[in-house]
Amino acid sequence: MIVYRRILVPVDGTERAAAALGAALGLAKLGGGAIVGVHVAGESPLLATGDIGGPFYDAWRAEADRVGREALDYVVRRATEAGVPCETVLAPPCPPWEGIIAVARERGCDVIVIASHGRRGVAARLLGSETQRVLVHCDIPVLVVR
Amino acid sequence: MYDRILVPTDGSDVSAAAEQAAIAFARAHGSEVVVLAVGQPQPPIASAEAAMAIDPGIDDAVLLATAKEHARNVASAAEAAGVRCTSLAVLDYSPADAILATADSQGCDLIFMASHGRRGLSRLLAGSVTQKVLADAHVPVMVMRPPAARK
Repeated sequence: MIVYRRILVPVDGTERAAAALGAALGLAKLGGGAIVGVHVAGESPLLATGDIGGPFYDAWRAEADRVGREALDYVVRRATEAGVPCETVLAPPCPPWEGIIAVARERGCDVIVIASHGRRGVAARLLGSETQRVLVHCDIPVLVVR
Repeated sequence: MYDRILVPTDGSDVSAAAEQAAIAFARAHGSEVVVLAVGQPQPPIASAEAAMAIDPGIDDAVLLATAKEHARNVASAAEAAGVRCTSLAVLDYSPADAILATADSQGCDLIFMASHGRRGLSRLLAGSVTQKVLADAHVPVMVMRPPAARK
């Protein structure tokens, strides 16, 4: 019998992520599991580093962390409403798919719930590029939600 | 939630792992399973060479019989696990379209499938059928990774 007990759900503060969160909470309730919310900021868009880039990086990082914390607060609110145990991870900046897979491994998750379409890209019918990368690189099942 | 799960099969080992997971999931949650096997007809090729070498495998009746057998195999595994099951076999040039249409017509609320099937080249490329289903499905899709990936 398969019951998913630790369900990873990446969030980025968008509505699509909210749909994935809804599905993750549903799956958690179904099997009496918990969810792990994760926000991965992505890589810094800055090329300059050191003395020149430092302040810009700090500002970018502060904003990225603020967006991440807001997205994760939303996860906690929704999980509390649904009565589902929940933990959250604000991952350090890295390519999102790498961060998602690394956190899934660290936290011993047995499934990832992710939206099918990402923020980027114009074609509404294409699978999101991060979703695509998570799909081919991870070892655990992925529930893709539209 | 997840009362009726569509499980497409192509009879391959990779798809077998996804089928087993789907049956286990259905059993745990009291869901019903709809098994679908799609035979893919070969478009006729108008050349002398093609006409000379007729492969019995491309005959529609044979394809459909093979698909039926694949579907029945999964259905009997589901029934053995005590999961209620419907077994379907169709012919379609596009397996992805057949999967999407069946999900709608059978009222399935979840699709359980492997990240690639018989035609998958590598585990680093999601299969084209799975890709298309993921892009166009109206319901959530549980994508199972190939078992070789597990430790």
